[in-house]
Amino acid sequence: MKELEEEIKELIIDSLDLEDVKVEDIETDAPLFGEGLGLDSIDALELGLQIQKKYNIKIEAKSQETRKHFASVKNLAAFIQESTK
Amino acid sequence: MSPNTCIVIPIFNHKEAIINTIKALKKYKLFCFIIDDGSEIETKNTLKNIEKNEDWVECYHFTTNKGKGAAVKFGLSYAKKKGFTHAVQVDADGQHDLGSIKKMLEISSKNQNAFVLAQPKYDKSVPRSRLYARYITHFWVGIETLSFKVLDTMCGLRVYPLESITKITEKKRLGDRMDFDTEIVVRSVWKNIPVRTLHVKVHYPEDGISHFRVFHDNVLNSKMHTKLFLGMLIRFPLLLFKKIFYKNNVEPHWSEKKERGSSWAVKLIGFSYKVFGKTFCKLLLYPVITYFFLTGRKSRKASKLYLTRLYETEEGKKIFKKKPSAIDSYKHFLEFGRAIIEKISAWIGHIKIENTQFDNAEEFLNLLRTKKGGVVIGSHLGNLEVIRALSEQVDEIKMNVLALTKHAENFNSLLKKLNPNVDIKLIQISEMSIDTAILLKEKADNGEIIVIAGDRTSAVSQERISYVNFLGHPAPFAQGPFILAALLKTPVYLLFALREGKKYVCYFEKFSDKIDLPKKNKEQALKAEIEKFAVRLEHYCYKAPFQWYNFYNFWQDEKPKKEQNKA
Repeated sequence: MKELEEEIKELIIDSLDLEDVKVEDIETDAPLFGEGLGLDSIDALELGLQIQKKYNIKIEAKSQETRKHFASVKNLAAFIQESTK
Repeated sequence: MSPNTCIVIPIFNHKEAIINTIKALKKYKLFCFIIDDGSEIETKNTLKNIEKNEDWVECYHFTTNKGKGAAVKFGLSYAKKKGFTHAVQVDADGQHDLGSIKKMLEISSKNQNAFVLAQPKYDKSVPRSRLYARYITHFWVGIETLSFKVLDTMCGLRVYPLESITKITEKKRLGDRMDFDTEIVVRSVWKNIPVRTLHVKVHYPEDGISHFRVFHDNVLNSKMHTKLFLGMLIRFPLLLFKKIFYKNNVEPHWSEKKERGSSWAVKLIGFSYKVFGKTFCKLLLYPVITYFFLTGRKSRKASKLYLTRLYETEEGKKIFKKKPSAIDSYKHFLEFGRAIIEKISAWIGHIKIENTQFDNAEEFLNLLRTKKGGVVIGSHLGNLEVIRALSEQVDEIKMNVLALTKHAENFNSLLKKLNPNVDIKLIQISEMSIDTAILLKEKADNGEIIVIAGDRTSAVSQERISYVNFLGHPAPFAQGPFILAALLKTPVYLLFALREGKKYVCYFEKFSDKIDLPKKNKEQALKAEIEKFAVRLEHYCYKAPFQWYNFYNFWQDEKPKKEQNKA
């Protein structure tokens, strides 16, 4: 799980060009959007597409669940693990 | 001074629900008046029991059924007489999330003059017919208060400031039934009572009895709205005045962004169009726009700035013989009013294909037919709505318009009401989160078209802006549409629908097969794309100089100067 979380953090930094952010700067529990890391809607789209591509999983559009999955690195890792089982 | 608040519950035959409601309310330690609106004997007995066991509850019984409005009005006056300053209205039927009363009381105690309104968020239990009635009501209330900020007026959970509210309820002849809930809100706005809102959950209990009689109460609602609409016409100049000078009167909850633009005019004219026809609207336009012109100092200044900057360009000098004056600005304003009427014509389907000229129509229709998907960047120059007329030619057009307003949902239903065949979805960007983002991708992959304006900067992502030259001066442009196009990997088109004489001419051009944003020079690549767009925008501005509908300082370069002067 920890490994996956690190991998996601790297993916976030890489796909969103967060140059001055390091893996250890991203807290696993902190919210990704809004406060916390402060990503916006365009980041959301970019990240969503990257995750979809990399892990080959289906992300439901227009679902509150999806919002929950993308709330933090922790949730995201759990979601990916669940979906790729 | 801390407020002295009580609870007022109108009740008519909710003998089961009232027990739970009272249980849930106990923790607030507020005095409670139950106004029994002539209920049957069982309910009366239940109430007597409650009164006996709970010393904080007082019941008052009407001998006959007078209506919910009558019960609430009586309760409010009664509470005021007993020395209370504020009253929470709670419906007896257990629909409301009573946990949110705490929050509402907090808001009320911080804004003691304010009328605090719960804004319902429905779960799946809500009957469709009720939702529909609500949409109609929203539309009416929007017109009557010249605002869409009072979102939902039918929810019976609210905190009244008694001093100012009873002045209205005791003097005016307000509706005695369900119509009261809405009417009191509209009249409060007229009286300049500040309105605060809070989102609450609403659940329709499965076994619940609702006394909203679909037909009868809708008729009553219409009657009330006609009355209020006429009242609005009389108060029109005054409301307009308030609109301009007391902008913050109806303050949305902190979490909601303010709506941009002067959409009240759209709503007023939209309604008149439907009821009185196009000619009437055109007549209405002159006083409305003149008033708007005389009182809208900021918009007037913005118009002047735009026209002047246009004039100062080489091309512009060919259009204007001399420096644009106030008369040109007035002309600019009138053009805006005309555009509103035509927008509505287009929605209703009155603008026919014969009235439009579309040079590149084949390419556009192909884009729709081949279902390859695409991003179409439009602008507030000209009137994009007229492309609606084209939908007659294609069986199935699916378009998704990304809008900046938070009223996209309201707007969708309004559109549907005006013309049920419309399949244009407005998606609100400011709420765009991960799920909306994924939805957009799905839509693009399905071959749907995504239309987005390229000349407005979003209120949510202020960082994603590039300054590029527009009419000789650097102006901020949103990067969003271009990043979106790059991410969706679809071709990008520009679309302008400009009125030339009596016809609309649609200009549709390919902007790019695919926007590529290399990682390394992303910012520069973006800027280059935006510069390219600004040049095209300028080009069309020269074609239709008065059809520019951005009535704010587009360059956003005035404030810093002033601040510098002060320093």
